[in-house]
Amino acid sequence: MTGKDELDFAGLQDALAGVYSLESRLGQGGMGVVYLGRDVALDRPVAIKVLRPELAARPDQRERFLAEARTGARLSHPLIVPIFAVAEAAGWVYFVMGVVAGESLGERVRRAGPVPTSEGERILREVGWALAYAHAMGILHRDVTLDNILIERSTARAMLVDFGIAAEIDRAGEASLVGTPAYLAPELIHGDPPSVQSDVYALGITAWAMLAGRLPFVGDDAAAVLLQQVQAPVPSLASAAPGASPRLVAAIERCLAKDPTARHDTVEAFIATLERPGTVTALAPPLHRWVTRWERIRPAWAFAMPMIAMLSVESFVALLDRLTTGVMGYRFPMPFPGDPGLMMGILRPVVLIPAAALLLQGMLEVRELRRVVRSGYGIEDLRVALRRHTLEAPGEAPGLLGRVIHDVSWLTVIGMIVLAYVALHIRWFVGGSNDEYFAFAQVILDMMRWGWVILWTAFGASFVMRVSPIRLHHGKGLGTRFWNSRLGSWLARLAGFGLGRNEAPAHTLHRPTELVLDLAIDDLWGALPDTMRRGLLELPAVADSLRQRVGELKELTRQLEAPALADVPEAAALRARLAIRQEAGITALERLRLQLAGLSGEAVPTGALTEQLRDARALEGELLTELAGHPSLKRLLKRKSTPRSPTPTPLLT
Amino acid sequence: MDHRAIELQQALLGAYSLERELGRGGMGVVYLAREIRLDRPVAIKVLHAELAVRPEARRRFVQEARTAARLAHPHIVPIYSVEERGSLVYFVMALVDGETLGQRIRRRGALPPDEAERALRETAWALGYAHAHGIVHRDLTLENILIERHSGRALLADFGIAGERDAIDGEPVFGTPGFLAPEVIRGVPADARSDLYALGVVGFSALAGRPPFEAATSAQLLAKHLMQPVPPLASYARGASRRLVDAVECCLRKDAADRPADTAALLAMLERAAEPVTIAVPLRTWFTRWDRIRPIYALATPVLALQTWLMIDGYFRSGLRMLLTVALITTILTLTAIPVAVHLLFEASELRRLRRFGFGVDDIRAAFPHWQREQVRQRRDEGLAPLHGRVLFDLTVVGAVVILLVFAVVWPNLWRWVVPVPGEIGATETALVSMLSTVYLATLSGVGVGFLVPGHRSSPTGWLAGLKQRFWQSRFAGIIVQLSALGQQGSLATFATLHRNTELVLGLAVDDLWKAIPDDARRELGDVPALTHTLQRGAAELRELADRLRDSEAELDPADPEIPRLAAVRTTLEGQHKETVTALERLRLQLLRLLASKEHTADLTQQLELARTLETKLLRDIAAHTDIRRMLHRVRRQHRTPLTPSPTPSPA
Repeated sequence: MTGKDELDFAGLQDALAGVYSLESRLGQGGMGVVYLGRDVALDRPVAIKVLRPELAARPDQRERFLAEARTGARLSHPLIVPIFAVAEAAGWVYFVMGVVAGESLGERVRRAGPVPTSEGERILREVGWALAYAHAMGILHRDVTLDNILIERSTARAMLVDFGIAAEIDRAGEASLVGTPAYLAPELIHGDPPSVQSDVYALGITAWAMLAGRLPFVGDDAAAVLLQQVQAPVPSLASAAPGASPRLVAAIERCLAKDPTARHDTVEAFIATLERPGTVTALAPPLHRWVTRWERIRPAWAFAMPMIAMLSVESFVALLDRLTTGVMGYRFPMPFPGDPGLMMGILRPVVLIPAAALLLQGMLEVRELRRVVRSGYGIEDLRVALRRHTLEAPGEAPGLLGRVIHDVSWLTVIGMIVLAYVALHIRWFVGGSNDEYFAFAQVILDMMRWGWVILWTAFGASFVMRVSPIRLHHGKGLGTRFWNSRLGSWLARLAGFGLGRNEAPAHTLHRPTELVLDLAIDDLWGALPDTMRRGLLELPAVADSLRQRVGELKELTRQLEAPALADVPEAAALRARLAIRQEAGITALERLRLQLAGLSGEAVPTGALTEQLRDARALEGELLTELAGHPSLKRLLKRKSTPRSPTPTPLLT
Repeated sequence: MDHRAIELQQALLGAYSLERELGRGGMGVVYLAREIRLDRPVAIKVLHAELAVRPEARRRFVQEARTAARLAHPHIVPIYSVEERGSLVYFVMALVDGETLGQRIRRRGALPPDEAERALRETAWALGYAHAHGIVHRDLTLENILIERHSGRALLADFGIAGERDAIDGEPVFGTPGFLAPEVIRGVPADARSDLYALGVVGFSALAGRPPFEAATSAQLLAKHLMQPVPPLASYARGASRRLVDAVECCLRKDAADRPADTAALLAMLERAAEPVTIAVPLRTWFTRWDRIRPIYALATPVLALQTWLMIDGYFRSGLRMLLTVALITTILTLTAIPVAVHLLFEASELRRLRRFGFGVDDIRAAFPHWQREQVRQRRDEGLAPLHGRVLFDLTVVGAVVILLVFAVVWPNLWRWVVPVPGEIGATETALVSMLSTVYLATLSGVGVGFLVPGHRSSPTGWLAGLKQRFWQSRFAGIIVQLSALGQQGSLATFATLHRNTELVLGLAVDDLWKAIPDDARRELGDVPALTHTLQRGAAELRELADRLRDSEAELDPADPEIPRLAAVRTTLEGQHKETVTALERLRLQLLRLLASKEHTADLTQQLELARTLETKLLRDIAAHTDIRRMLHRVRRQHRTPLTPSPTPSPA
């Protein structure tokens, strides 16, 4: 703070004493300074925006500021920063608003570059919601800019701030103009009154700048920027933000039309052209519990490891002795000299304890599985859940402690190898009497004993910390493969033994469409009378393989949607083709289900069903060939793995 | 799938795939379905067949759904499309993954006041937006408000598509009987204020766990809504603030003109005193650090157990008892000391990290209640019961007590009590030892597993949490934090100081300023930091007392004779609080001036004088505060006697 600022701060605090207590300065805008303060009576943080003293001295400016703050105070919307009070005190004009813990979108773009498309769409939708509400209330924002959108840190929601409180732009000898030059609609510059369309234009500029990481029109001074707003065509957003979808680009560019009538009529219309938010569905609680079951099983292992270490250390030493006797002709001092059951002594703790831990794990696994089955879910649900879980939570980077454990265990292994080498070649290192050998060997032995304990403890710790000392990637590749295998489904079926058939589970949103259909077909088929079922023996199998083909198609489509393939026309064509096949597959499944449903109501003869079945089988074969022999597909997917050089991101000026 | 669903599926073939029925209402059936092209779950609401054949009902349904489809708001369930196919009329809307407010109330009973307030506020936001668009909901019920599972936000559904019913005088009325405003029952067309009445019913039901009026038939229910006064909400909704209760009751007024003018007016009434505080990330990490310390203890426990066991075993097998006793004690001590030392080092490094971000012990103290509240809420949401932790804890304590008893009492008296014949000592000893070692192992395993069980966090309201809180409030904690920050440059806290309360902010600011002003000025002024500290603590205490008084007032019956007394005390306390904070503020201002102008002003001396008088007054008042606390305690105890809700009299 400069001296003048400090005096301002003190003066304002003087005026507000007892009501608001200023804490620090948050920032400065065209119209005034924003302070972080506290509402003394309610004990809550507030932001206080104060009109600059030189502006406060001008009655017209002062009136405008107050009137517009009062307008803004009428708004109440979850995505609009609320204004609590508008007041004057001892010559200061200010309003008090809610504090948003976070940063402005402008800061965010300056700090981290362009906003990714999906997030950008969400932010646009949220800002659009807020603007649409304000417009419905008959209030124009007049200053939608990157800096007037705040992103709350804890919830990531975008909140709109500063309604109608735009600064006036100095234009010598011309009518006054309110707003930020870089966001001003051409018709405003011509002198038209602000409208919904001019807010839409500003929203368009904001969207452009957010996705591209820079403003579309920049100039040395306000006049140059304004001239561009009126004359220059908008630079292509598609080239400035390569990741944006054509739909999004078209929607934004329509906001930026020079002619207000060519823009979206309302903000709602603009939001409607954005893709709807993909519904986020949480995994059902039993499934979520199952996916994270490892958390519950781990402790058994962590506990077992130090036990193994402790119980096996003497046996380990005995083993060393047996090994070294032959080489050195020298016997280590043994706790149980000449124990005949030596090998058993080693084997017992080292084999039995892991076996016990494994047994415990198996029991826990079965218990968790039964819980899942009891709530009506099957192996297919488990697979879907597992896949979603691995997709959503890619392996966390190990923390400091994890890395320490990893390093310690490796160092211990290396150290023990060195020690073993030394022990085996003890004569090379130590000359002299047997006593000296003895003492030296004793030291080595003690060190190895401790190494052994440390090693097993580190293993145990690695289970707790979820870092693998030997980088097996346990729980990821191996586990997924197990549950996707036939063994996994047998285990699941086995675990459901004696539980009986359950009614439909309550929460099935995680299931993809084809799985829903397949399961429904299985159910319907199971409900058919025996005689009818015998005529349709292959139906479940056909439905099952059709479902698998559709799933594979979906997976392929997902791979084709990788950003690296975004602007390859071939990929787009292929995606469209796959989408059609996918729909055909689902429709075939749907038809099968419909026929079966009709059959259980005994309304449709079996003839139509066999026909459907034949069609389905034919389609399945077709899909299979399509999936197997798509050379262009393989080529494309290979190309995906070669990384594209990232384009340098210019900073906002 | 019934035949209607099959029929619908036939019509939707290729576009949507029906999964199952979600529910049915007066107007139609809702299905869970998949939109095949976008592969997303949707909800499809189909107009009942008997309604669909009536052209007027059909037209109204389609038109209102189309109007509602234009709404765009974070708390309104979006409608994707409205379609007619053959005899079927339906609209497709987003699927909200969660439950309706009604389901939640049936499942869990009355909502906690903060959750109910959130649902009310969010619904009011949505209604306000719709009203601004000229759309009246007309059928706001508990079943039309959905609570999203993962975010907990409320979403409003089914705009303008109310079912049709016959009113008392034969005119058709749209809506659900339990939620109809009196004027709507009389036949006045529904407007924004009748929506507010329905919102009041929703708020009442959410807070009380039951609707304001209950009756066997809908005619009786309507009559009650028309005639009967609303039962006092405060006696049903424990812990709800008076502000919230007043807002809900205001919505439930019989005369529309007495209700809030619009949703903005209602929201202004709901405006909360304290927003949910976001705890800064470093502090949050600090609070959760226990999960990171646990593995150390978990690993150490079996080592300790086994090592000690082996040694106890050796103790009884060999003759070197004296030596082995010493060895045993040293082993136990070292094996316990190592993890404890690691733990302490860890704590110190965490505290230093906290310090690096500019947070000190005061921040820990200020953020503790917020953290606790958050934890309690989270626990409630997850439905966590700390049962297994309990059992483990109890077993462990029992084990430890048994061991202590045996070692301290039984063992020395073994000869006298158990074994009269000296020759039998060996066998008894062995039996006792094996029993002891088993109990010992079990106890330590209990401790180890207790540390390990994931998701088992110590209860946020349990004795351990209380102990922790008292520790961090103590002076000792302050010293520890100072010690751990040795040699570290304190940095200014960033923007994330929202958890601090006003007193703390001012106190810290004065401290900072004090460090910045020149030495001679400091000498001249005397011990200002001690003064600010007293003022700060005093202000905090005053605020806490005033808050508790306000809570008590809200809990009491409005007619209770205690209320005016409590209110009077509270007003005094609030006045004192304001005075104290103002004194702190003036002190800071004067110091700021001093720093800016570099000269000692008479004002400052004057302020200091004032502050000193205030300080003595505060110190004197402490005795009075004890009286107030006693009074609060008494009121609370009285209140705890079960309050039977007054039986609602039958309609006249």
